[in-house]
Amino acid sequence: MKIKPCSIFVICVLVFLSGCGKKDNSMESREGTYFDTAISIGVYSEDSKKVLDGSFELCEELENTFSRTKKSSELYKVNHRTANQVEISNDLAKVIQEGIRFYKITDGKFDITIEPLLELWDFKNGSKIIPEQEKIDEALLKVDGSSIQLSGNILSFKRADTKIDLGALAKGYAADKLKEYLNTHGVKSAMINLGGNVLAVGAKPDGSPWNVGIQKPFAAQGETADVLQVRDQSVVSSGIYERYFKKDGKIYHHILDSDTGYPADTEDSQVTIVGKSSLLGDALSTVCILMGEERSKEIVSQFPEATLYPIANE
Amino acid sequence: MNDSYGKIKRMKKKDIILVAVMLTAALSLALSVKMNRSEGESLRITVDGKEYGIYRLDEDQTIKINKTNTCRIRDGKAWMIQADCPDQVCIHHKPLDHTGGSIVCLPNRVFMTVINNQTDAPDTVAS
Repeated sequence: MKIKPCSIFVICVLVFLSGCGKKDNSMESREGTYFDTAISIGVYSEDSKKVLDGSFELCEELENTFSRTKKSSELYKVNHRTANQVEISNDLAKVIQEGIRFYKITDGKFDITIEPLLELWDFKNGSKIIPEQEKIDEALLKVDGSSIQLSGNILSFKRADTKIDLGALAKGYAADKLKEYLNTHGVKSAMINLGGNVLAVGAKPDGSPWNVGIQKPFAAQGETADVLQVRDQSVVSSGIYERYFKKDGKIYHHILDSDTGYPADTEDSQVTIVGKSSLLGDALSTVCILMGEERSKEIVSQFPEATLYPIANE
Repeated sequence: MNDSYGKIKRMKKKDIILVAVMLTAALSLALSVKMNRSEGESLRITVDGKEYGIYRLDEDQTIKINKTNTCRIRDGKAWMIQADCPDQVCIHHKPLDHTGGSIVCLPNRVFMTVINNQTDAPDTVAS
């Protein structure tokens, strides 16, 4: 019993130094590759493993809907149809509907039937090959947004050679769906980044806003031109500095002009759209690269829920 | 008061040693925890969604990631020095430091992310 007072003292010191074992609530994040890009989802949740599992299952599901290259995907089957009318899922119908809407708004510049042209260009593997003019002309004949019609879940084609690509919309739609999934599973605070397409869910747990950096065009990846503070908003950038190659001093980027078959001639090297809907942000950011500065401002002003942040070419 | 004071005074030599050992252990533990907090940023590498390893940013090292990529950590910075992919995007990425961020080699599905960063760097980057 002699030791008692000093034992108590030692225990007190130990407890004090160990910080009382308070568990800190940190963000759990997971990375993966979906939608032909790198994605990352971070959540603040007591059940983070479960909600992340569910989120990645949803990504898998959406990839199997929207991929144009995956042979098992719904879109691949639509593109390789045998009849001129197909019944499609709600997810696919919603995104195609958005594509048709922007085809009309942009007088045909934003065209989801651009697939035959995309097949010709390679912006990923460093081959730096400009397709032959003959092949571009041939593909241009197949690009025609007016040849598709959507009525409910029935998609009709006027031409057999029409093929759809949803690369300018699918990530935005997926981000919105992920947010919906997280919200219904009790997650109030999360960060979704689908290949640079950002959707901040809620605010940080302490109520402070998320800091979303904007990639500086043509700088090292991760170098930011600006940092936006957002709560429950999507931040989507489109630019000519991603998926591009340089040949004879000229930049060939991945946003193709459906009239020329070549990368869009644009004043802005990057545009960023901030707004509630990531699908709208995804569509508008591509629209802005395609339409030029003046028309872009007009179009974006039709959507009060979205804001345009342009960064001019240097 | 007098009573307990008397007890401490009468503590055996072994008791004093015990107290000294425990205090030293507690102090060194606390110090190591503190050190980890101030400069404990680590680099987490995942391949194909599975964890490959976690490496301290304050220990200079070169990490072979399977046969496809090589990462270097030096002076608290981490960057990709080799990749067998065609696009070489990851090689041209700005080195990561304690402020956070990620380098991704998409073709090889290699992700390098700084964890435990507690700074005011952006939470993510839109591109």
